[in-house]
Amino acid sequence: MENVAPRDAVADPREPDTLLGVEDLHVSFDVGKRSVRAVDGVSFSIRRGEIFGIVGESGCGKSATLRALIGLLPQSGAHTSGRVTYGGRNLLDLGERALRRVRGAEISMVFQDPMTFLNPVLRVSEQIEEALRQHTELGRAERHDRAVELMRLVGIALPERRLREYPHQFSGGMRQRVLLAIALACGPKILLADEPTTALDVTIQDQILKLLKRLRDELGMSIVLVSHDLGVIAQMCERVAVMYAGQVVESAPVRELIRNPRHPYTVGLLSSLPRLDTDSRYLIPIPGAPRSMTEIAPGCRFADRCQLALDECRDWETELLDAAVEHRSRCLRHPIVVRRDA
Amino acid sequence: MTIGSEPAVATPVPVGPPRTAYAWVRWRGRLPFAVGITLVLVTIAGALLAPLITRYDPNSQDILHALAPPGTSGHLLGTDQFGRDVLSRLLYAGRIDLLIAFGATSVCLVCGSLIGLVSGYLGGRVDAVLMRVVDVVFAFPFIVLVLTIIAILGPGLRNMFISIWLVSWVPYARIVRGEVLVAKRQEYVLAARALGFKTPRIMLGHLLPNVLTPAIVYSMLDAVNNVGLGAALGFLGVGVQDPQAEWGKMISDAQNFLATNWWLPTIPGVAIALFGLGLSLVGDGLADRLRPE
Amino acid sequence: MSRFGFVGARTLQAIPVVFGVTIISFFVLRLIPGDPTVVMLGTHWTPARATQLRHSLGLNKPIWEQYYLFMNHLVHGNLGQSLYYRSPVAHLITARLPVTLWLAAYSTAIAIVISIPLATISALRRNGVVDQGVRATFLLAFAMPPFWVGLVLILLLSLQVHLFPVAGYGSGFFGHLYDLFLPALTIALGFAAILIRTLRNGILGILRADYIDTARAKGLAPGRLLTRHVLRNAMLSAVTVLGVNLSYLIGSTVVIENVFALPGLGQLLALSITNRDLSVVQGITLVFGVLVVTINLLTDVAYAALDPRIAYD
Repeated sequence: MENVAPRDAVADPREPDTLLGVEDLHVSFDVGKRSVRAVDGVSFSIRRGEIFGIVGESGCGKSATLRALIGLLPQSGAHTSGRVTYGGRNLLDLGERALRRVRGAEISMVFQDPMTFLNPVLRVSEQIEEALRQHTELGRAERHDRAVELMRLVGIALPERRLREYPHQFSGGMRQRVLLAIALACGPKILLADEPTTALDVTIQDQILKLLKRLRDELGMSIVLVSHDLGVIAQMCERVAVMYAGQVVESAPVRELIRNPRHPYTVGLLSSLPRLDTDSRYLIPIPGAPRSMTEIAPGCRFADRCQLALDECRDWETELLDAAVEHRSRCLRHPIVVRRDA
Repeated sequence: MTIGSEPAVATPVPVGPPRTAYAWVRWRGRLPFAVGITLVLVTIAGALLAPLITRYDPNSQDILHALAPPGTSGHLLGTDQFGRDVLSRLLYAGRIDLLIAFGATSVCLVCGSLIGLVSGYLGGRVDAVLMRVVDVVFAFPFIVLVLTIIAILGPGLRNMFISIWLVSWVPYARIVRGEVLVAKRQEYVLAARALGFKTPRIMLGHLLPNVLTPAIVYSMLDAVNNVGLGAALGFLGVGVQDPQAEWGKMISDAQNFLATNWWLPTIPGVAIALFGLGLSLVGDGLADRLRPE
Repeated sequence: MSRFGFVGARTLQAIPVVFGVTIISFFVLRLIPGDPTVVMLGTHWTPARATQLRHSLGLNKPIWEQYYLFMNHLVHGNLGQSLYYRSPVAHLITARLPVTLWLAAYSTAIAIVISIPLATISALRRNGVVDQGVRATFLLAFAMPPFWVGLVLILLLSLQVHLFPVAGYGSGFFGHLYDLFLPALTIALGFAAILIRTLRNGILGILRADYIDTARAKGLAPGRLLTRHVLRNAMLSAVTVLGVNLSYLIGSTVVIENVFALPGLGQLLALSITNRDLSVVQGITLVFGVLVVTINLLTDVAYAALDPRIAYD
């Protein structure tokens, strides 16, 4: 198995613990007569047992990236290219049938709004057990036992009784736990989490995040956590990739990213977080708005909103530059980028 | 593309389909609408230009040439059992059915929409009462209500119109009311009220254009139904009366000749079907246009 | 609100509607322009008979007394007297009601059998050959007036080919099935046009739903995905669609009975209009109204049985 990560990957090329390698991923959607580039040349790798974060605004392509990994994009109008290496194969080359064996069993996904992501007319037990039925040889009784075990694992009390209930009888946080139980049913190695806490109350959010961490510790699985909330990412992840306009603009271990950001967008993200440790009463937004992804001009895509932008930034064919150890940035002027309050 | 390396998989990223392919797709999507408009226009033209197209009087009988098959004796579509020219009757009957399609439907559209608008916007008692009425009317199959009203008033074209008007406004009221209930809470309405606009002005100027769309889409469907209804009433003998021509009545008059002169009851049905098809296609086209998906 | 609560609420809502139905039926005889007895008695009008009629209907009394009289009769099963047939309206209706119900049920069954598979295939292979063909065919079918379709079917399948009878109700269960096939098919074709369109849209909506994403993410095979997730939800929307359109279906029976000479309520209605036998018209109107309300209520019950959100709330 070739484990040589390309230039733009986040991980160290000689790292043997890489489970999943994404190289030069492109995703575009046909909208009317135009083509929207949602993901434009994204590369990263996921190591065994780590929690990897992808952070960015709405529309930056982070959800599309996750979905592209296991082929969950809309069946018509979506075009994907690149390499997604898992278990020695490129997942993008696999036919639908082979991909189905990967989904749920090796790589699972949980989504944002647990209400709409659960089938309202089926019992919870059915929704968990059908994953087991698809991927394992367990008999009915064994499937039921496993379902009970899973409910307990995700922290749902009275699992036997709750299994017989319907999604609408659960609260928001509980439903998200159910979604997790479904995703974990067949013991996947990687869990893709697309904004799993965004639709929940803050206190519940915290519970779910803690649960995720516990699951990682107990089961040893990797988690790819996508969020627009840098606070969540900071709390949970070991390494982070920051996405903007379909590209990774910065990647680093999380503490390094926060202490020492090397891209103006990241600086902006950090500054827009409310802080409890200063007296400042103002939130500093990033001026301007992301450009529509149908008009792709060359050069740095953040230049319009960047305070450090120079003319050469707009002409530069961007690439990820080494800023520090395991720290890359897609900014020409990264050496002079500093945190706002430094 | 900003990455130096070539993608490993040879699938290119398209930046949009080629112009020619797209043009064909657009044209193909418009085709049904075009066909529909054509059918409707042909019907209208045929009905209005009837005196120019045919030289026969639709009511003049010619027993000697009765039941002539199409294409014989100088009659393009043949004659009926009284020797009346089928083509002429068909064209003049078209006028009645056109009148039903547009006249009956438009009145119901306007009245029903206004009622729904008022009911939805004002709410309260007015709304409650009106919706009760709507519920009760909906409890009957339309044709039963229409027939009942005709039973009371007597048969004939005028009473047919009256009964359709009395009954068919109801779906519009319900549709528009539903839209208004949603739209009422929208910001542009709140803004208008904050600016001090009076109620009627808000209703007509701001709400109306937005809530009318589903009503207009429905009106196409309704027109088809009304033509069918008019024809059905004609078929049952309670619509237009002799000797006036109406497509449904022509079918009814010719029932008994189904076995021997099958074209006689069939041809008017084809006319209804084509006209109805045209209206449906136009309706679908409008729906697609007005509701971007 | 449990299932009982839901059904109970719907029943309560239906009661005022039923009252409304009775009121409208009541007014059938009271809204006749001019002198109602002239219209009702027609050529048999004599001053004596007119007075008798006015008396039996209570036409001289205040309107609410008349209504009370009407409702009183109704509760005792008295729907008035047919002046044409000289027998109680209720008898006439009871004799003919089974035919109409048979036709309605049969048409619904055929329509469902046609619609569900076609709608499902159309939705799954959106814009494919089947989808376009089905939509085009039924667009045409919808535009064709049902009575005409009936005649065409008679022409093709009864007169040319002698496969089915031209008219009549037949006897015995299988007799009915055979004789009513053509009329039921006629109605079903028009009904299916509406059903297929709505069902197709419903299924398309379900296919776009988020929980389908979850199901795909589980790696479910398309077969299992379809049957468990899509169809279960589609059934719910199908029941709603049926309920909404059933009054149209029942209305169709009126015309079709006349095309196929079936001894049902529709034929009676047409005859009574021609005969100006307005008591019968009043009775039939009432029965149809109550029928629609009842069927809608039954549809609500079916929906409550199928949707777990209603049961456990």
